[in-house]
Amino acid sequence: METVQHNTGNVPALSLAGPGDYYALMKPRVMSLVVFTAMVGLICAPSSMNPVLAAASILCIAAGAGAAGALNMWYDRDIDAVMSRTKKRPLPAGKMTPSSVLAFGVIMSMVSVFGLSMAANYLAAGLLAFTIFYYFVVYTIWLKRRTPQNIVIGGAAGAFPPMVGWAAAGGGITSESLVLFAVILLWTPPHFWALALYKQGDYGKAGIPMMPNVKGAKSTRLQIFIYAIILAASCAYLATTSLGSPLYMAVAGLLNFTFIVLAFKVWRSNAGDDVMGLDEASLYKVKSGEKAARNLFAYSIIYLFALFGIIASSSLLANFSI
Amino acid sequence: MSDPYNSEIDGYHEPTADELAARKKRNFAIAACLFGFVIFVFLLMMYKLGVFA
Repeated sequence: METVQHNTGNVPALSLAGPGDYYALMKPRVMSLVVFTAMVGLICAPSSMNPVLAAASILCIAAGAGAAGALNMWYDRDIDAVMSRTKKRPLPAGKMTPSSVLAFGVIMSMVSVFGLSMAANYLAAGLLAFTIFYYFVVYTIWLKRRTPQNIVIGGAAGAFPPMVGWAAAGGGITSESLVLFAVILLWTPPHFWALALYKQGDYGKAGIPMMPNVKGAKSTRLQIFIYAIILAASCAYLATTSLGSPLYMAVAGLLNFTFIVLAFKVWRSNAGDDVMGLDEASLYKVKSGEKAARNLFAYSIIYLFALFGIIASSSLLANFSI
Repeated sequence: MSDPYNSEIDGYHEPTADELAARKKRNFAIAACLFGFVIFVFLLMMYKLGVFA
């Protein structure tokens, strides 16, 4: 039975956690991105899939992503408690015990991998299992608290879902699915570093070595711009594969141009600079820079949805010969 | 450190109405998930066996 130690003596009290708290453990916003990119992988794969099996596969991928989120929250419960962004999560808020969250994460992981092996194939199930392992062990346990390259390498965990979707449809591992993987991998650093530029105090308080805290805001802003250019190059390469189309090239070109402009504004700004001892004019520049970082962070989410949306649309249009 | 297997409970905690309501919700959610999982596996088996073909 699940218990929470908020009672006097050693008499355990019943938990007040509801199904909504378990849902929150699964990081629904991250899960929505995973589901969407996996669906795009599934739609774009050269081989078709029965719609019911495809829906079942997506459900399993969503459950796997949720399981990885729960395991991440279990391990990070100490640092989640000190960051304003995460302190209301079910574990730091005291609504659940760590053991119940760990059990939930492990059981969900096993069920999702087993389910995908039934709905799709062993390759997709293996990739999903590796994704959960990578997010939990490689990113959460190993990299997150040790290196400012945490989200550069750890970003691969978020980049696997389109590959899993592609493999689930029977497409195996091809250059197209690897490019989809690369696009998300290269998108992750500018996305998270833009957030870190105006939230670095929060990360610093928790002792997480994010790039602005370790290498400084100036170096981070430059790296954001460099990654934006490499990301645009990877999108251009995608156009040379079977996923490319005139529609894709037009929309992706526009999306990447805007991304580079916003990244350039962040690079030329003072976002994330130390505000101690600054005069009013310099302080204004930092605040204005943080606005540029916020704009890039918000845009990067729209960018990824729009980019993958157009990849899927182009593929569907090509399939129906429109 | 006390031995969790041999420690004696020194009282009884009467569950509050909120705690009982939360437990009831969890029980229903677990039941629904297990039922959904059974249906999920059953339907997949049917599809794999070609029953709906």
